Amino acid sequence: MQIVVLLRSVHRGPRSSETLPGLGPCDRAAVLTALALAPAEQIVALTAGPQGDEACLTAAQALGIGRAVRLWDAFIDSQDQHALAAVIAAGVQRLGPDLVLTGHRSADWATGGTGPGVAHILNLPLVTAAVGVRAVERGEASLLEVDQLRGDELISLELDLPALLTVVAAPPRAATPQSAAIEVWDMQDLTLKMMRRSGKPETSVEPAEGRRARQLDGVPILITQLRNAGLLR
Amino acid sequence: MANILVHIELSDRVATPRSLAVLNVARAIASELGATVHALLPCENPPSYERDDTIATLSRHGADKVALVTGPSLVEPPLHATHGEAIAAACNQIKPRLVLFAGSPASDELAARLATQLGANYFPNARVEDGPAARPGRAEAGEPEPGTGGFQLVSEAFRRQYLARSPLRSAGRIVVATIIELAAPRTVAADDAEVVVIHAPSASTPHVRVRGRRPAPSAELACARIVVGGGNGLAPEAAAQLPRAATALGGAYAHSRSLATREQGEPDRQLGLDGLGTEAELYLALGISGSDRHLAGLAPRTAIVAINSDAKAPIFDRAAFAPCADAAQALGELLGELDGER
Repeated sequence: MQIVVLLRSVHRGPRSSETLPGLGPCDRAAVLTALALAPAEQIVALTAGPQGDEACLTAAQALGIGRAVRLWDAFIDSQDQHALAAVIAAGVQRLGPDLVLTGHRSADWATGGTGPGVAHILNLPLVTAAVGVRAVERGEASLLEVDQLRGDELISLELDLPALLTVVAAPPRAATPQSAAIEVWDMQDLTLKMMRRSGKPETSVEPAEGRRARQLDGVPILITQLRNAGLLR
Repeated sequence: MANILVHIELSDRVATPRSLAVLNVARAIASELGATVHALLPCENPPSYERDDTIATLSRHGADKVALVTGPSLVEPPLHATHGEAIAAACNQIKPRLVLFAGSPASDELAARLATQLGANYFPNARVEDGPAARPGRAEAGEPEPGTGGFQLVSEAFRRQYLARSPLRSAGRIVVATIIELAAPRTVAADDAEVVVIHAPSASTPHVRVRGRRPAPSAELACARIVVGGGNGLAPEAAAQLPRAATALGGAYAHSRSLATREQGEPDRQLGLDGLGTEAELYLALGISGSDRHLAGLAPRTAIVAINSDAKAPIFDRAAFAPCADAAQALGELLGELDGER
């Protein structure tokens, strides 16, 4: 099974090019899921980001993924989430996998929008919030059985390949670190021509300062508050 | 802004309270901006028209119109594979400027893909704030012009360190948002909403099939509703009580990286970057400072309770509640309260 794992390096802030070392928990789960489903040589880690945004790929290689690709073009920087999804989708298309995995959300913007966006562009079946994934053979067909987390429930799903899953959790496994050179692709490599859209949405981002938790006078009041809020049953 | 569409999520064929609360939010926005609220009700069979039926309920919670779309594939739980085409068809017919979902695991799947399908701006896990220019007449009074204030979608980003704000009035494109931090739903209108029937395309061969449903394992970190976490501010003997506290709460336990360096943590319980994440609704953070790396393990919808004797700990800027207590003492009291209730 050929798998592409979409990853995102974790940025320190919205205007910071500095990335934190390591993988977000959901991206890490996507990598571990891929390694449980296929041999390392059948898996490619893919990210979109400028030079210096390789932390997620390096971390994926440390867990055992061999091939890693970074997509970037200066054009992307001024574009919105849909353009980014289109570029990633073109990268996925070039690799032609049976399965695309990604973290349920990144550890910075945390929108969880890129995976579903790529699934739409590539017209792939989508399942979000996977916490268990198993490959099964049924006659000639290769299928996946997926446990999807829905609040208090797990939904057992069966889906055809190719497909895209966003992953929340995966069992731990021993790592066999890899260290191949990271490939870099631009829009020419992807033979992708994009029209300039109206750019990014009008969103301001500011530090969340001045917020403090609501002070409570002791644990019994906390329990009452949590019950009133429906957080404790 | 002409139309606002609110997706109604059903649980056992009844509109969820969170969907009704989003209808309340849509009603408030529509009343200020002169828009029409459409409650989109995808369901397998048309609901009955009795006194307290679903359509009357949606009307009383703020819907001007109920957009009813029925079909054999529209069963619970709502998946993109079952509901995606029906929701897109409703958007194509109603042409909303704003599409709202209640923040939920279902909307994570439905809303994100719909946003790409519509070429819309996507704001997940947002709350709606009513800014200074929302009300007519304020501009004349020297207050901000429309587009500089008014209703805003506000969401947290970068591990709760930043707030992203987007004004609704000036949005050039369709906006798709999932809404959290909702008040309890309340009746705000009469039950006279018009019913509009949406014709959805017949479902194609499903590539995703539901095979069953079962309770999620509540003791697993990823699946737990409640997680109790311990950090460096928790004394060793108190840290050893974390599993017992998790059991008493019906949840899972976790720890920070710093607790692991004290050799009191387990590899499969470390929350944060290079560790695990959780989708829990509630995180009891005991002696946790709230480092950037640790908070990366929490979902945007997770409410944090911070208990830490260090009053300057950053966790207090990210938490919803903070009882004044030492972490170990609070853990003891919590266990005492929960044990006393049995």
